Amino acid sequence: MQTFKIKAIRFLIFIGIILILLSIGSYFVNPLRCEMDNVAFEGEVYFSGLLSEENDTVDVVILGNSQTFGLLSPMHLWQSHGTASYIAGKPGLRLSEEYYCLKTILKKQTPKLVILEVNNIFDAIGLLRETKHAIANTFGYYFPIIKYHSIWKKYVSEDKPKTRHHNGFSIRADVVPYEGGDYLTYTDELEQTDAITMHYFNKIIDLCRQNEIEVLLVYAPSPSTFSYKKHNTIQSYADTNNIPFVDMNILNDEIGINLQTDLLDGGEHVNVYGTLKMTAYLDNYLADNFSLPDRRQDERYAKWHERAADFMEELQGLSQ
Amino acid sequence: MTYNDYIYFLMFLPASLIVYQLLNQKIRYISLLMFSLAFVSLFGISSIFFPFVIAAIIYITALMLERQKTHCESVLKQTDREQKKTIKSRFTKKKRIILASGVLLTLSMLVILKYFDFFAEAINHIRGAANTGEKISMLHIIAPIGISFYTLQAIGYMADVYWGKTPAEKNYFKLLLFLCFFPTVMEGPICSYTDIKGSLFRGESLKSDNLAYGSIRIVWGLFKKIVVADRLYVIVAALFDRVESYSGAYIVIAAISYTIQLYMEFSGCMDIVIGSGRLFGITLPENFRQPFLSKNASEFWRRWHITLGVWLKTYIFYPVSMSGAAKKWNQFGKEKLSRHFTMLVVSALALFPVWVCNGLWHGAGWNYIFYGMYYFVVIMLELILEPVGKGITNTLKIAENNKLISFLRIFKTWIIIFIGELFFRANSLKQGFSMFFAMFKDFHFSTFTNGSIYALGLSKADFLAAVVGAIIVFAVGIIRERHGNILEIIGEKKLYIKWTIYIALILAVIIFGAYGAGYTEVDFIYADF
Repeated sequence: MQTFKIKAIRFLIFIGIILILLSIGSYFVNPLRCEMDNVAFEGEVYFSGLLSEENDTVDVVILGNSQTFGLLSPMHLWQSHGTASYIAGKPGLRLSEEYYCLKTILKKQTPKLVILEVNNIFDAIGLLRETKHAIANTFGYYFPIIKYHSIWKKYVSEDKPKTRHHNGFSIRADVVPYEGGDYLTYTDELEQTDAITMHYFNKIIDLCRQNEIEVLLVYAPSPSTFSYKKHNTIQSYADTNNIPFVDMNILNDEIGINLQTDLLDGGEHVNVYGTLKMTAYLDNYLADNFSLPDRRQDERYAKWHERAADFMEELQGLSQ
Repeated sequence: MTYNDYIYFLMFLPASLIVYQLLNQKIRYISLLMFSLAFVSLFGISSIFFPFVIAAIIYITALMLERQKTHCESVLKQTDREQKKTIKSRFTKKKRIILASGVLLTLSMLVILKYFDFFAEAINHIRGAANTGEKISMLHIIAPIGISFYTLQAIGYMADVYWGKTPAEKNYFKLLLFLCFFPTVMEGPICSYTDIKGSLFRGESLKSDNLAYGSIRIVWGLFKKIVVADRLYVIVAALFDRVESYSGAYIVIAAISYTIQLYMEFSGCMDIVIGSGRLFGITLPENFRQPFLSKNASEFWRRWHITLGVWLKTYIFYPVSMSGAAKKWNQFGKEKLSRHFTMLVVSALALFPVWVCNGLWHGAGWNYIFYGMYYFVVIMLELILEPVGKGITNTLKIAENNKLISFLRIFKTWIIIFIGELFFRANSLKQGFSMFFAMFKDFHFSTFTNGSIYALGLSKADFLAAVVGAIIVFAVGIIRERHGNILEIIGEKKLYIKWTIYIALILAVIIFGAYGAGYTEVDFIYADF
């Protein structure tokens, strides 16, 4: 028994040493402290960009998968109503990671509104793989050294060119029309959801409520992935939990998305022309339904005016 | 779920260890069976059907063989000497029929699931060329996980019972566990029932020594897999998937990278598997013993995928070389021919089916059959030229252990290995040949040094990590060759030395592993075989 106790204590000390070393490593590679642009993989630069913002300056955080990159143009919101918004989405973002992204963001920012793009609720890839992602994301949150373990590469590799974006929005002007059939076939049925995904979605909603942050659910236009079953599922969730929900697929006539000119890749994502139409709609929707502060006169936002000017210049270059 | 999944080593393994330890020693094997069936079913619920059926076949076959043996013994006791031989031969014939039926039934499942489409395509091709007969429809079945491995184990078990090496197992579920034990079911090692049954069914309580050794062996396997192999995969995929764009030194890079990737991955998987077994106190056979220190192809195959080599030697090579025809030839050769020539013919006779089976076992493709035949030819050439080599070294009075000669022989073996693996990895035999010949076109040594390699999808930092990782693995291999199992040696060191090495290894895997964002998760190559 004595030997067992000694061995058990030794084992715990061994695990303790590893955890301490991981914590020390994590302190130095925490995205809240370090510039991660050269280390973070391509799609995560938007999230790390948001973490580089000055504390408590972002009022609207947009989260979700690649659909968020074309959901709205933060610089337009800035210019029209002085809304300080930032897209922190990531391609293929799973809900478990989205939850920890939001937790990380809340350590630096105190947003008034979180816009959740809901496409990724239906991206689950099986219980086992979702569990695997959830474990990885949990470890990655508590020990950033695990998530950003490749940071050593920045001392060996040449600097990557920085991804050009405007508060998480990149101007993507390719046009590939949608050539599928009618995708708005009505049904009363509901789409199945994954238990792990919904567990984290609920946690995100709870986290927002605990921090007194309002939530808006948005379904971006996506003819090749949208179905009424999915819409019904989200609508039902939104009604049950008293959360506003805007489905841009069924509001298409109102928003005016042209499936021939406003799509980037034939049906999954919108291009910049689509985004501008959606921004116009959402800008008014936010102004009508949420009391978001106008920050244009705030000195802390001096840089935002420059950013907006840069963005408009890039946008004008596109139209020429 | 594969062995490099953290679900496996952070959840599945700990859960199985806890349940195993909580149960009574006598029924611990049941918990291993339950976890094994759960593991197999994760690859599709239908995957567990086949181990059940094959276990039933070998269970019945072995019991029938044993009954014949017992019956034979009781009849012999009541028989006079003159009749004994006749009765023995009658029972041997019966036993052979039982064994052959069991083997055929077991093999037929593997053939249908894995080779049917390949043979059907070959027959259709011949019929098409001759313009005769209807085409055979393809089945397009994906072979269930591990079937190539447990089929060999099943055949080995029946043969062992036939030869009287082991008594027939009376407990069906123990046989089922033997076939689908979760650490071995995906990639082996191919275990002999006689060797493994002791530790597999003993239900040994968990011991700290076993847990420590097993855990660190798993981490060492992960190091090989995710620090080295998964990085080299990027170069290998880039070169083999766009073969037409490359020639010369690039093909050499492809062959070397793939060989190292395969070694790191397969031997890394074996480390995880053997480590997993050790956690439960189960000793699994080693599958690799520093193969790149081999001085010829025969030695290479005694060091590479050892358990497959042992299986082929035990169940194909020996039976053929001890067969009546081989014995007759030996007798004839002794009287009329040279000893060397007689030995060569017997070797060719026994090695040919060994290498056909080796090639075919790896997959249903002409490149795999070519791979087997390639080694058959190389090994036969080595046997033919052996006296010439010995004659030269004797004439020049070069010592057997001369370092330069040893290095040259090792280097020659590397070339043989690299060429073999080039054909093995090629998407088809045609592609294998076109890559082999392209190697001699536009060959520039500068390709190795001018940074062209970084244009193959792997950054300079990742390439550096793979190279340093490979050097560490090979250095450990040399130490192991000279001083024995390095992990056992470390285990006997003072606590602070031991812990420093363990912690450094764990942190190396966490920091330098090719996992997470920006990396592709790479499945184990041998799991597809």
